[in-house]
Amino acid sequence: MQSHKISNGVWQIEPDQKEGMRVPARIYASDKLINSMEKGVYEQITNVACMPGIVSHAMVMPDGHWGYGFPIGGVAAFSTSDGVISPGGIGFDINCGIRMLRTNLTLEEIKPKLKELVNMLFKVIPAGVGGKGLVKLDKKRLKDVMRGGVKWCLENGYATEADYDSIEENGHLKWADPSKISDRAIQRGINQLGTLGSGNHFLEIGVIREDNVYNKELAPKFGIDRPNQIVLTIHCGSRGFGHQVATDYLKVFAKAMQKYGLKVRDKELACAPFDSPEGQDYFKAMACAANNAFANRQVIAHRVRQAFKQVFNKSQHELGISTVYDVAHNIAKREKYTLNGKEIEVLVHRKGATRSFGPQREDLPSRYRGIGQPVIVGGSMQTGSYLLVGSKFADEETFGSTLHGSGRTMSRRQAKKSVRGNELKKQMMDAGIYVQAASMPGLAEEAGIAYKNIDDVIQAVDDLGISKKVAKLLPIGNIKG
Amino acid sequence: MKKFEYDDTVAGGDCAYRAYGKTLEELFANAGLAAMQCMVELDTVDVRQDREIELSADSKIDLLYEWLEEIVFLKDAEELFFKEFKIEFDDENKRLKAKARGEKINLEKHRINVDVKAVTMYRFKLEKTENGWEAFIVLDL
Repeated sequence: MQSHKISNGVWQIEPDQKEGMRVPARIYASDKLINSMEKGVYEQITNVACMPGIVSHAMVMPDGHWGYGFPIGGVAAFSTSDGVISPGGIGFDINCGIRMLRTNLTLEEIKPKLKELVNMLFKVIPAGVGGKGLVKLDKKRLKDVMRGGVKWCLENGYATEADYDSIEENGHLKWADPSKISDRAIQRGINQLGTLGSGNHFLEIGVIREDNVYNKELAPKFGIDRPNQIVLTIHCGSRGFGHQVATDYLKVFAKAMQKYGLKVRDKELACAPFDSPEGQDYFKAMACAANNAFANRQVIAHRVRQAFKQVFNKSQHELGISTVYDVAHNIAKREKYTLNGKEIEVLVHRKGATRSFGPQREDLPSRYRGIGQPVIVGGSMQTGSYLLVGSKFADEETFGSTLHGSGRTMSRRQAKKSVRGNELKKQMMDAGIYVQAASMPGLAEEAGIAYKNIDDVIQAVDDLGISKKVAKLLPIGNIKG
Repeated sequence: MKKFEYDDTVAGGDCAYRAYGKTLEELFANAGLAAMQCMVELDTVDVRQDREIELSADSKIDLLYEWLEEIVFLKDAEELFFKEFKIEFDDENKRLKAKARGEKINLEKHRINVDVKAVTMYRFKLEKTENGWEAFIVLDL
């Protein structure tokens, strides 16, 4: 399959490259990254380009790699009137996402207490397989969480007004409807609110060094306002609850495909018309899972604040732990764009991709409306994460989307063969990163060598202009699921 | 006969494996064990309780999917790890009764690998071979 460069950082696969393609596919990558892009990504994104109602072009971000159905790093916008919704375009972990918390602390202040702090966080934040949550819920209360997300957290003392104002959609998707959720999903999720989970999920403590602040004017507006500042990121999703919602609806959609006479090139791309009972049911169920995930990150953030208070014996006012922003990177959203001079509404699927709104978008909180949306990108645990800002160009080129992470280059099993968990833990210790992990093999699977170079993928989106660098944080502590 | 083997060559395959069995019963049990082994080192799990499982589906392959999905479900819903499965089918192989034996998840005792999110449909396959049955399964981690 051939792609050709249509402008710097943009590679297009024309519709004549595969039968059934309705629109071109675009891969966003530097010259270096395009050469290492997996062949499977070309196959998968051109399958997506064949789906009913897709608008303009199917997209892959620079961190793209093979996924189930859609590639990870995949973005596709479908017409809300005659397009589809596809659980495979969202992923099993609905609203997997990242929150960034800033603090008043500096590296010098945290250093003597780092081990104590990481050990404490590892103790108080459940991680790994199973793991009872931080909040005890019954069925009724879980439904309240599904409906309210972070609003529920606010009403129940787990969030502040400032948190609520600093989350994509306020952490509260209003179209959530718990009647679209199976008992199985409830049973699977009822014990898990406030758990980190496993795989690539983490709680990272990082430092932002002065020379890693790329936009000195913007950084203070995002709360990055002192040298060697300590910042935290929380990366997790909707846990067993969301996984079950996705599983349930893949089955529903397999049947719906027959009912509506839809054909796709891969079972994992099962879809239904957005404007159909099945499509709407899933959209409402997805919102329940997304609210659950927003609440999950919020409850963990709440526990982080308590742990810091205990370890440093300082008040919340002194510690200044506040939410910079919280983004979803596995989700579908109704959004409006101007295409060929006409305003259209589309359902943007982002699977391993982050919303990257430029200034003036109504959905942004007032304090960010003038500057653009904070974009948080999680790297591998050895290389750190980035804070970026969304752009108007993303609104025009990528349906307001950008990358979400580094992007895997090595399978988990390959990574595990390359390095042992204990060795890696020691290597990281030598490099100044203290890590605690629920699983040593799990730790090895997340080694930095298993990922693309984070600086390369970030530079690619910065050069392209779909989001711009603000600051980079270097890891010093990590809790791994 | 090997019970199962993991396949590292599947693109992006989080946990891809082939499971084998002389009989369909054996294949289902081995496919279940391989899924468990993705999550936990089986030799750290003891048999302390039994859990009866009854499932039905329209076909053998659908039943295999339901079976694996049930194991993933019980890991979260009842916090159970299993290390032995005894399986019986009805005459048409569309219903199964299983006795799953294991214990409650204990993070201090069990050597945890990685959580399984879901059973995927990617290349999902069940077929009769010369020696019995073979399945190909990819789990999302």
